[in-house]
Amino acid sequence: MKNKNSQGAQESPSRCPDNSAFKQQKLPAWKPKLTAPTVLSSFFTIGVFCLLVGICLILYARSVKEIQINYSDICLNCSKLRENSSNWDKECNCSVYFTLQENMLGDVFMYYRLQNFYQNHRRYVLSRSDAQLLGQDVNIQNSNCAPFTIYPNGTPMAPCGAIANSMFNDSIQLFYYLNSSTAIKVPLLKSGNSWWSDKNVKFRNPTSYNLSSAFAGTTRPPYWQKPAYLLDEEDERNNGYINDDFIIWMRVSAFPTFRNLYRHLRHTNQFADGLPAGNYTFHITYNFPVTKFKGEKQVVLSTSTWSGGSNLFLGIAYTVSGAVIVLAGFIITAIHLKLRKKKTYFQR
Amino acid sequence: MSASQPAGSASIFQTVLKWVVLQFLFLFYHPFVCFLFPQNNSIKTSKYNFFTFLPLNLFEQFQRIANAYFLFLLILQLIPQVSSLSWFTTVVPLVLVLTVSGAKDAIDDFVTSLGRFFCGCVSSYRPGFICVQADLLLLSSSEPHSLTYIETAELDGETNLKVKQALTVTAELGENLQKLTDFNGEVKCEAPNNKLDKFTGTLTLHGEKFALDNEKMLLRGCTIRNTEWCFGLVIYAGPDTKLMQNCGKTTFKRTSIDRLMNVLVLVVSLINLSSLLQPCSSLQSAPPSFLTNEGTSKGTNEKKKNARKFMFYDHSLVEAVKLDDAATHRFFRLLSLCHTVMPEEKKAGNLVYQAQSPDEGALVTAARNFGFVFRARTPETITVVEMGETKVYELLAILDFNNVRKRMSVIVRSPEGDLTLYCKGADTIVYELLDASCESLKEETMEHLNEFAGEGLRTLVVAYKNLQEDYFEEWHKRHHEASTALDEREEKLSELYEEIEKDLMLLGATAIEDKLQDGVPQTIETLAKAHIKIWVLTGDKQETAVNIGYSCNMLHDDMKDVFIIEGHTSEAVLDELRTARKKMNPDSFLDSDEINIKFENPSMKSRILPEEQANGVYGLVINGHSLAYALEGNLELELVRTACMCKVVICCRVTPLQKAQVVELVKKYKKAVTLAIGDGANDVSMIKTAHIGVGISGQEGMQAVLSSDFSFAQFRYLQRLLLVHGRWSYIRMCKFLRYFFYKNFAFTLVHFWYGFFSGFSAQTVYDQWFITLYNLVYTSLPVLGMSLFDQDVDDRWSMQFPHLYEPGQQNLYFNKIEFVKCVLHGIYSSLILFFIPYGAMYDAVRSDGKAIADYQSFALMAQTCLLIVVSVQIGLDTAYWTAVNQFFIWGSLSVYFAIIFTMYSDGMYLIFTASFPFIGTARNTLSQPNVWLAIFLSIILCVLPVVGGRFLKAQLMPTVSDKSVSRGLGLRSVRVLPGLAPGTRLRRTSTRRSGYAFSHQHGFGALIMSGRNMRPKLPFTTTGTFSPNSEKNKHK
Repeated sequence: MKNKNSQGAQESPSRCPDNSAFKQQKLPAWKPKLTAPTVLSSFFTIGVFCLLVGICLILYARSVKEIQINYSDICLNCSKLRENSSNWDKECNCSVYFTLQENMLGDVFMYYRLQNFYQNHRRYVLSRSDAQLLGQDVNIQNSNCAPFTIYPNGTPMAPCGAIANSMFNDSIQLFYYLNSSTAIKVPLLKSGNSWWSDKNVKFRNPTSYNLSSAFAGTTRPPYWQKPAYLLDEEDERNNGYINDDFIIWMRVSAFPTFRNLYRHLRHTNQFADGLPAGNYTFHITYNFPVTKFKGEKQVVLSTSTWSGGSNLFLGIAYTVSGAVIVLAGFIITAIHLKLRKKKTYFQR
Repeated sequence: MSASQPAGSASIFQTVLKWVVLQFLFLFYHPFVCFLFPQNNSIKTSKYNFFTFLPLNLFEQFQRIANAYFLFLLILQLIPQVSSLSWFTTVVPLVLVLTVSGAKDAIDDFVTSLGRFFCGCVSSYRPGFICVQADLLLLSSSEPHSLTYIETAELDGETNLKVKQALTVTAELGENLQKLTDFNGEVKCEAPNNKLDKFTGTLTLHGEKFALDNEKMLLRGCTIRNTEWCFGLVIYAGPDTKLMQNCGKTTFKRTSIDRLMNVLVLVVSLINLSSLLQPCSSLQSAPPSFLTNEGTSKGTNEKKKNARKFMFYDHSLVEAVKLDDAATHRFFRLLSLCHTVMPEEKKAGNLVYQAQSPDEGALVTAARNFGFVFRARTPETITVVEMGETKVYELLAILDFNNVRKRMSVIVRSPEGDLTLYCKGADTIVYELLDASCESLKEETMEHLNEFAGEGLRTLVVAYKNLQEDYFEEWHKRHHEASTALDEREEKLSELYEEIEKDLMLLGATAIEDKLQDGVPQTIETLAKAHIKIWVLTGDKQETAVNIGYSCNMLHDDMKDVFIIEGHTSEAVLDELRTARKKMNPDSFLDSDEINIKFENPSMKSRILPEEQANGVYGLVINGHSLAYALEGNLELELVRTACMCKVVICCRVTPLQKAQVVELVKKYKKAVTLAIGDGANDVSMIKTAHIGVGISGQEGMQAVLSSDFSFAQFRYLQRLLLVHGRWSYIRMCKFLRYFFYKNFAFTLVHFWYGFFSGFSAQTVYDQWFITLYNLVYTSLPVLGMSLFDQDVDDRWSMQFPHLYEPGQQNLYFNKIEFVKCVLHGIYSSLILFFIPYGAMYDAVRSDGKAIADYQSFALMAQTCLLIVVSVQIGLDTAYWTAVNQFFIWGSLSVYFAIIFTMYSDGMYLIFTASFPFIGTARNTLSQPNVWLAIFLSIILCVLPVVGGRFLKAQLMPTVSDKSVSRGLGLRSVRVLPGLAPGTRLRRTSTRRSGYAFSHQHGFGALIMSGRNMRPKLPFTTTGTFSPNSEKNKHK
């Protein structure tokens, strides 16, 4: 046998495959097997872990204080008014009263929440020009902004596209009633609500000696009431494309129901620890129509925790999964033991 | 995609480079090739040429519906109104797949055609042998009477010598070139056809007509032996030659999984809404359940024993020879005298025997090794060097072999003047003719014969008889009369033979072992255990074929019956087939039989026959001429039904084309995968026809190897090819396909669920770059690693338990049901992979209060979930974690994170603003604890059910593989590892005796006696001793 091999190798060395572990399919290997101990222990460990995590998550999520008010229902007059687009220049204000039963301590955030608004529609998502928003001088007609690119007279829109055009433009102010007659405005911060990378990298204003000249030669999108360089006249760092409200709106939502951060509480005076319990009112300038697409608008006040907001889903999902996994572990153990008994019986 | 061609894509660049080089070489050499072989006669052995390559190859590639589907997809994606994705998401993978497969096809085709070009002439490189390149009419040759000796191994696989003889009129031309150039005749012949043993035509010369038949033809592919030169007239050339007519067409082979894939891709493309599957091409994989086999016997190794006085050990025989034992000497003298072998001594001292049958050659060689060297023969004499002493025997008569007599004799006069008849033949025959005086020896020999037969050796009995001078004179006269008689010559001769061949003195017995290649019987036995049906298709004679059948342990005495089909008319063959089937399964003739019903109803389209059971183990032997009838229209169904009921089918005397037809027949009527294995040029068409062609690289040239899909040096490697590598390959392929479909369904269907939340606007869940790279980069290497290395059971176990092969034959690991399971698994995973991230993000915020439910964050989270889940899944599927697998799996995951952090970085955004809008998503989202909690939950919910399910399945319904693994684990703990079966010779308890398997033509004896095949000048010079053995003996 040995002899033969060596002869064969001598005759045709080139045709002989290497005797390497790789070519001979004999690489050393770890061969994991689904054995009873590994399977059962993994089921029980993971199950118990999930249960614990789930309970934790539920506890934390419930510690979050949240109040959510549907103002498109409450401000019915305004909703109706906005149904007809010819009333666009008529201002409509609306006040929403509510009582906070408990203090909202820590950071308090104000969100607006839209329902049934399909920001994730494919053509809507595409309808923007990132280059324009980066302050570059680009021909937006080549972008996906159509039909919101230029007016018939040739002036380009800044910013272009359907997303920008449909920007949420209600303004919401919060008042706190120190007593039944005097209300003070709750200090809310407009900036610092967006991602750092968006504010500093993704969005830039076009450069010029001032902002209005930078936007010269362009005009506001058709649905806007004022041009981009007037979005926040008080704060240069929050105006134009780098306006936080605008940036947040431009980060389109994944689902038709979503909340976007609108303001967050500035901790001063009475509000150093958060929002104290008491009576409040929202003063809303109602501009954004929702009834046309059967949508609804809410305003949300919420605190936060490490696991996010008041969303209970993860907690419940973890608890249920954990329970099911532990249960499955018991069932598998039972089947395994039963079969093993049977086997030993047969062997005898 | 890449994993389906593990070898190819492992070195894509190398391969492409090679291809370029080869193309260049081809272009460079092409003019020379064309010059050497004018176009009209050249034989096209390649599929492509330089210009047709691209269109033809693309056409073939797009026959894979997967590829065609992606082309269609690509066209759709070029229309912006329709497309949801950029064109590059489809183009990049598709172009890559097409390039790699195209390069592979080009190399295969080029290498094959190059090889074929060489192989046609390969034997002419061997000194002394000329390979005929066209079908020639033999005109004249160097040998007396214009005889030409040829070997036709390439044509029909027979290695023995054949004689062709030219017409006398043309033989006169000799080697006179002037005459040859002036030769002016007209040949009329039949149209080119594939019949190797038939030729009819006429030669008109000087107004005279001569009949031409196959005896005057030298066919392309045969090798000229023992002949200095010969002249021939080309009758058929190029593709018209009988050899090429017997060659099948090169076709594009595809496997059953390939075909299933075509159907599945159609289904997938119908249900696939978001159209995100990636191109896939799969290659050879399915394990065969039918096997046709050719050429198991390679040379016969003799092993002979004198049963008279000696023990079975060769050294005792040597002793006896040295001791001048008279009987022993006579025994070997007989072997050196009684045969029809032709000696050939081209160079001094290099004596070669040209035997008509390997058995004869073996016996004469054996005698030579014992010091009885057969040196030369003339029509009247035989020269033998006996123990160094040259003796010239006078050859008086050869009583030729034929199938009825099963013996042959010679009558010689020794130099001393003794008149002796030497006879050798089948034991049953010769025993009848023995003299009563050797009764005791007879019994002893019988014992030995039984022993030999038990070991599966082919036995012959040899005997002699001293003749009286006057009796012989008288007999000789009658013999002469009979041999010149005009009518009933055969009968008269055999009567005479009978008369003189009696009262013989027993000398002993010889036993010949068919030296099969190592491990042939074991391999056949193992393959049979793996439920592979074995059909032997051979060009050999029936006796030889049956003998090989017995020595390979395919036919054995435990069989209920071995049917022999040898009818010469269509009716007779039908009758024989029906009789056989009636015996095996009488029920199959009832009207209620499902096949009978099926074939009475012609509307049924499917021709696939179900399996029929016989009531025992049967064998079937079919002769070539009967097979010709059986393969005709109405009989082929009968043939398939009868043959498939038998455990073993042996077809003998089959032409190359018939071999292919038989394979085709099985392919047509049986839902089986066929594998053809052979070593000769005559097996090429069969190898090409079968689903899987295997070439054995042997002495018979490279034709078979070059047209095969796999090739190796010995038959026994087939066992390893099928049981180990075939099985692994099948399992890997199935695992690959299951995983492939799973990961793509999990990937694609998430989009379907998202459709409900995005107004069915075809918004993709994932980043476009992720979609492009998902199949190409992120998930390709782990599955490639699995497809390269995975082993559920190691090689020793798969060899030890041939049953492990069966799931493959039944297509258990990937079929429509498995596909549905993959789809369901994919659907389940996609539900988890969509709804867990959805639930976790819906109305959720980050820990710093900022919103998180934006599209980009969701996309990143969903794609990270998906990628980790499919990576864990491949980890679960990988049963054999080599370092490479570890590297690929962990590497792919790391590469994913590296790529997303790079692509979503500030720098990339500032440079390529439009291409990478996901800036900042990775660092903002992946820093959130709730994102990771959601990812973890998705993994657990996707993977744990699979783990539990697999564990329970192995417990409740263990598969063959599970059982053997657990058995293996048990055995391994007590350190009983199965070794490879040692090369022990199988002991057979066969009572079967010698079939006197002389496969030589009847009438060769007469040829020798006439002296027509003798050269006038004898090369033999009487010089000294010859045998190396006798030399050695002297030194001792």
